[in-house]
This record gives sequence, C-alpha cells and structure tokens, in this order.
Amino acid sequence: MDIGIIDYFANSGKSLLHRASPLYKIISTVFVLSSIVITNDLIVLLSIYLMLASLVILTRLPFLKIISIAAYPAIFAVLFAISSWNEDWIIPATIILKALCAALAMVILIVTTPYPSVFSSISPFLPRVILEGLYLTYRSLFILLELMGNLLRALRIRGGLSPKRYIKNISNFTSGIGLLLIRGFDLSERLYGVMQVRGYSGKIAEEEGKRKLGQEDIFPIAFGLFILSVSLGARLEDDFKLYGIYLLNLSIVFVCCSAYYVYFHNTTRGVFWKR
Amino acid sequence: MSHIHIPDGVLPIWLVVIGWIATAVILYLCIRRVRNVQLGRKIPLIGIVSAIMIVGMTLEIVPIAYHINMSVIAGIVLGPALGFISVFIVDLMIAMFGHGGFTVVGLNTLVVGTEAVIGFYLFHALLGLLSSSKTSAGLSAALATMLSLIISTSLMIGIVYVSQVNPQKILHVDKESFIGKVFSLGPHRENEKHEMQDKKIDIETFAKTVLFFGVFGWILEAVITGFVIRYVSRVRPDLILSEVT
Amino acid sequence: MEEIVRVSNLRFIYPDGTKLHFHGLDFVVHQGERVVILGPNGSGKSTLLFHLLGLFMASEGMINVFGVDSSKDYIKIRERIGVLLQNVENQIIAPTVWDDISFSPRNYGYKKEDVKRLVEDVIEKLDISHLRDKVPHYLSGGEKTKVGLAGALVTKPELLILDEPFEGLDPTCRMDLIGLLNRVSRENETALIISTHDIDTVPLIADTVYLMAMGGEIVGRGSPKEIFTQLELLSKCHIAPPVLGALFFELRKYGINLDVSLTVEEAACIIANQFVYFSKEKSGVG
Repeated sequence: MDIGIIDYFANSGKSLLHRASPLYKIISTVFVLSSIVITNDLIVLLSIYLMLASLVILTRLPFLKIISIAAYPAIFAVLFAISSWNEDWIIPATIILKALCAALAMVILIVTTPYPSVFSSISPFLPRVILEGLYLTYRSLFILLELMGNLLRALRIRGGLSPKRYIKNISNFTSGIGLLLIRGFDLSERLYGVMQVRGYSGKIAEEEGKRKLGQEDIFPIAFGLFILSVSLGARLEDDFKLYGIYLLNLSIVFVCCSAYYVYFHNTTRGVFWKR
Repeated sequence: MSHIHIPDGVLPIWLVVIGWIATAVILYLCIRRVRNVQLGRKIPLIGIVSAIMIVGMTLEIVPIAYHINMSVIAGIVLGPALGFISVFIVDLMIAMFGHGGFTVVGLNTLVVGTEAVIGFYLFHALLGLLSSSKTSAGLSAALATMLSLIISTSLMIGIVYVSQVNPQKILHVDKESFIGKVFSLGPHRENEKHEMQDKKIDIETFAKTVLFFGVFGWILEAVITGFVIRYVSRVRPDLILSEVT
Repeated sequence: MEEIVRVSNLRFIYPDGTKLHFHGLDFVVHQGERVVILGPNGSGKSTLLFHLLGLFMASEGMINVFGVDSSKDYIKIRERIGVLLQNVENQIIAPTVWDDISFSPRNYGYKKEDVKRLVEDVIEKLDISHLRDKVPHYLSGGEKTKVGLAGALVTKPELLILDEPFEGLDPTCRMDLIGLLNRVSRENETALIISTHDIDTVPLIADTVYLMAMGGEIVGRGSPKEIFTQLELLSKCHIAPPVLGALFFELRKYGINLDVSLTVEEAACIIANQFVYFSKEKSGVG
C-alpha cells in the first residue's frame, strides 16, 4: 500500500504539475482517460504511455516508483488478456497498455495533487455524505496504516506469528483486523470530533483563486487536449494512422527532452518549470 | 475477485454508461434512505470501513490473482445503504490510485455493492437461524460472505457476457498495420484490412478462470470476514446490531 | 550474575535516512539486573529496545540476547522475554482481558490447563481479577498498563523490556507499577530494561543506569547515584538530575555540603541528621 508515499509526493513536490490547479489537472486527466477509451491503436496507446512517462519525469519524483505504482492493474489486465487470448498478441497487448495508460494518468494526478484538493475540486458534483466519507476514508487510511504496523509488531513480539503455524497465524491476524476496525473507528471518530471543533462543517475549504486558469494550468490542459486530439484523429481518420510511427517518435523525443531538462537541469537555464 | 478489472475502453460505452446511471440511482436512493439518520457517528465508521476495504483491495494475493474486498464487513457494520455508499467511495478512491479502470467504477460499485447489500441481509437471516450457537456471528458472517461472493461473481461474469467483450470485436486492432508501422521507415497505406474473426467471446474460459481462482479467494474472504465479525460482536456488538442504515 | 544481553557498536538507518550508532560503551545486562536507559528524544532508546526484540535489523555491530542474535533468531528466545510497549494499547490484541493475557501462552502451544494456571497466577499477582471479562480497549490508562504487563509476565520471562512504562500514569499508578516491577524482579530474578524520561523514578527502580546522547552514543553507565552526580555528563545528554539531587546541589551553593541522596527516605534522614547536628552545635555554643 503506497498511500503514505503518494501523499508525501503530492504534498512535497514543487514541479510545474504540482503547482497547477487541481481542477485543471482533473480536466486534463479526463481528456487523457477519454483518449484511452476511444483509441484502440496500439501505437497511439504506446505513444500516450511514453508521453505520460515524460510527465512523470517532469514531476521530479522517483520515476520507477511511480511507474511501479501505476503498474498494478497490469496483473488483472494480464488475467483478462489471457482469457481473451486468440493466438494474437496485439489484442492482449492493447488491453494491458490501456490499463497501464489509464492507471498512469490517474497516478500522475494523485502524486501531484493532495487528495483533499481533489475532493475539494469535485465537491460541487458530490453529495455531502459521499464527500465527507471520501475525506474521512483518506484520513482513516493513515490511522489504519499506523495501527496495522503496531498490530504486526504486537503479533510478532507476543508470539502471534510463528513459522509453519499458518492457520493460527491467519486466525490471529484476522482477529487483528477486527481490532483495527474497532480502534480505527474510535480514532476516526475522535478525529471527526476534533475536525468539527476546529470549524469543519462538511465542506473542505478551498484556497481562493484555485479555479481561475493560471499560467501553470496551461501546460496540463494543453497536454490533455493534445492527447485527446491525437486519439480522436486516430479514431476518426483512417489516414491519421499512417503517421503513427511519427507520433511514437515524437513521444520518445518528449521523454528524452523531459529527462534532459530534469536530470541535467543545471546545464539549462530559464526553463519555466524549474521555478 | 468480483471486482471488474477490465481496463478503460474495453467494455462497450453503453454498458459503462448504464453502470454509472444505475449506480447513481442506487446512490440517490441510499442517500434518501439515510437522510433522517444521525450521521455524525456513522461518517467516521464509513471512513474506517472504507479504509479497511481499500487496504484489502490493494493487497494482491499474486499466485491466485485475488484480492479481498471485505465488502460484506462493510454491509454488516454500516448497513445496506451506507455499505453501498462506502463501496462507491472505495471504488472511486482505488480508481484514483490507478488500481482499476475509472470508467468501470459504476459497474464495480454495482457488483461489489451487491456483496455488501446481500451480505447484510444474509448475515441477519443466518444470525436468526444460528442464534443459539456461541460463534453464531462469525459463522453467519462467513457463510453470508461465501454466498454473497458467489452471487456477485456470477453477476460480474454476467456483465462480461452481456457486454459481449470480444476484445477483437471491440478493439478493432490491426496486427499487420501495427507491424508495418513499427518496422517501416515512413507512413504506408494499408492495402488490406485485417479480417475480423467473428468469434464469440470465450465466456466459458473467462468464467472458468474466474471461478477456479475465485473459490480460494471466497474461502479466504469468508474466513477473514468471519473472524473480524466475531471479534466485533464480542467487543462492540452495538456496531453490528444497531439501527439499520 | 550471568550476562544475558550485550549490544556493541550497533548501527541502524531508518528508511527516512535517520542514522543511529550505538557506540561508546557496550550495553550489557545481567540476570536479575534492573537497568534504566536515559537519554533525550532522538538518542535511540526505543530503537535499541526494538533491536533487542528482533524488530529491527542492524546494518553493523553485534547484538546478543540469551546467546543468540535477536534480529535473526528472536523466535528461539521470545518465550524468555516479556514486553511492555510505550503505548500499551498497541500491544493489546484480544477482545477480552483474559483472552489477551493468555494470548502468548496459547500461541506458544501451552496446554489448556497450564494456560489457565499461568493466567490466574498473573491476574492474582497484579490484582486485576475484576477486569478479566472486560474489553481491554475501554479500560483506563493504569488498568491497560496492568493488563499489558500481565500479558508480558504471564510466561514468567527472564527479561522484561519496558519502553516508557510510566508515561501517562498518575502518581499512584506509577508508584504501584514501580512496586510491582521491583517485586517481580526480586521474586523471579527477572532482569528489567526500562527506557524512561521520568528521572525521579529512576533511583527507585534502577540498579544500573545507562546514559545515551543524541545519535545513540552510550556515554555513561553506573548506579543512579554515580550517574546523577555527574552534572556535566547529564547536561551533555539534556537531562536534569532528579529533584532531590538538584536540592543537594543547590544546598552546596549555600555552603551546606551533604552527601547526595536520591530517595525521599534517605534524603530525609540525611537532612534530619544535619538539623540535629546544627541544633546540638547551636545549643553547645549557647
């Protein structure tokens, strides 16, 4: 479970994407997701994945860590791909790539935007109980992870986890989940009480001006629109597909340029995302 | 495993839209149902139960490609309406982690929400039957989980079948064109369209795969739910036997 | 007395990069010895204890508990060690007090009748039989500590490790706990390793005090009196001497040079003797 590290990335990063408004990052992500839904062209998908990878580089966060976080759905996509295997590797590859692209787009959003900001941006579209539930779930995850660490430590030092006693171990651990539920509930309830005492009334306060389109928002929006138009072009115009190889090359150039600017930034000056 | 782990863009759009609309309608009904309930104490419970579900869903048991949902625990502890809301929250959040397609959140909520709702009613029905037993709460929860998972997995297979997810049909992928594009130096024109094979989706293989691996997962999840509910019933029986929401 | 613990030149790095190096003196504990570890926050007291419990793996150095490397073979020695963690709630696992106290022996595979006998013994010793069917999670702080201690003592360990056991306890509970720990140590020859910030309790419970500085350096070892009279060393570790010790040092500024005492009884005795001496001197002069 990487929520702790995801939260750290979202809050500690200072890249252009981190500074962009959550609302426009969400819109950009929706564009990218729509592109993934409408395109079935493996080259376009591969290009989208590489472009997203270049975004990951631009976030200045650990590249491989983020790629691996976003690789999780591949496990299930592989299962699905196997079940639809027909001596043709293109279709399974397309399925897996779709899963990877969508996951990477979501992960980029969430490692550059703290959860509360995401919730705040989508709050106008959600009922209060869901919004509060989302927020408390997010907070509770941290409570739970700490409790889980404590539980595992307690089980270990008190003989609750022993080698080769699998049934006993499972029984101890699962009872422990019951304990986590009870203790987590108490702590979550206390937290909710404190939040209310400190002025929380079911709405997460949003910073002023976050909805206005700023200079930093142009990049994610432009990126999302570019991906969407490429996918639409590939879907609607047969001739567009002929230029797929150029798109793939372009995405490789994207990756190289991003890597150059981020990893060799000392040699370049005046790059606007270095601020 | 009753989760639909189909990537975005594989299921037909009509089915995805129906999933979202159905989920929205059910959510609306659930919210109406809990409108008059004092939610002050329930919100933190939704938070922690959802958090437990998220942790369960993101812990992959690799050899059997299974993850536990703990949705029946949500149903039993929160009641059917809040349980369904909690499942929606969980699906939305794990989609944000990139742990599943975003477009299938609606369908996933329907499937996993079914577990929570059916699990709740089965648990109470079984509890009534087994009430004389000392470990009735745990046993009822385990049995309710097993049955709910069978139902929800069948529902999931049904959805896949209805969707006619023949990836070849939906994706229109062109192998020759792909190879040509990658290995040629410039644009080239496709002279012949790849002939789509109109094979029916191999729903049998899919169902067999899911059901085979599913059995291990159901047993595991039933055991876990049983132990958890047994613990909760001993320490905080009010949490599972309070006002139904 | 037989040596049961030795830690030498241990290095440990936390995932966030925080480094601890337990160097300087070796950390040694003998059978039945009551050892207190003192040091500021960040000196690595809890980290050292977690190494003894096999929860951390050192990158360098030597650790020996009952003749084995605890980070590798903790399972071999775990029945000989009892633990009371800083937040006792973190070690309570089972739904009722009885279940929780019996948790370790049940998991170690003891026979049912043995488990029952051991649990009844410890419940009686700690005077908590009225709590047996309660949910530990909802007990008061002092009661939870007793339940945690009962769970640690149930298997009659030879070594009891306590991380900040007095934190959050009211003065009465604290004194009860000190009495209890001393009794356990005396009756069963159980060695105690206690980390604490509660300086005033140290003279009541320690045979040996280890003083740690920031980063894990072990800078002092000795009896409470030996340690608490080295003001420079204490100041290096950001530790103030116990109130009674400070009183005797202050008196020195007024020319009253008394032997430093760290317990109320002893201090009262010394001060009373001094009064008697003064009054005799005064009446002699008069």
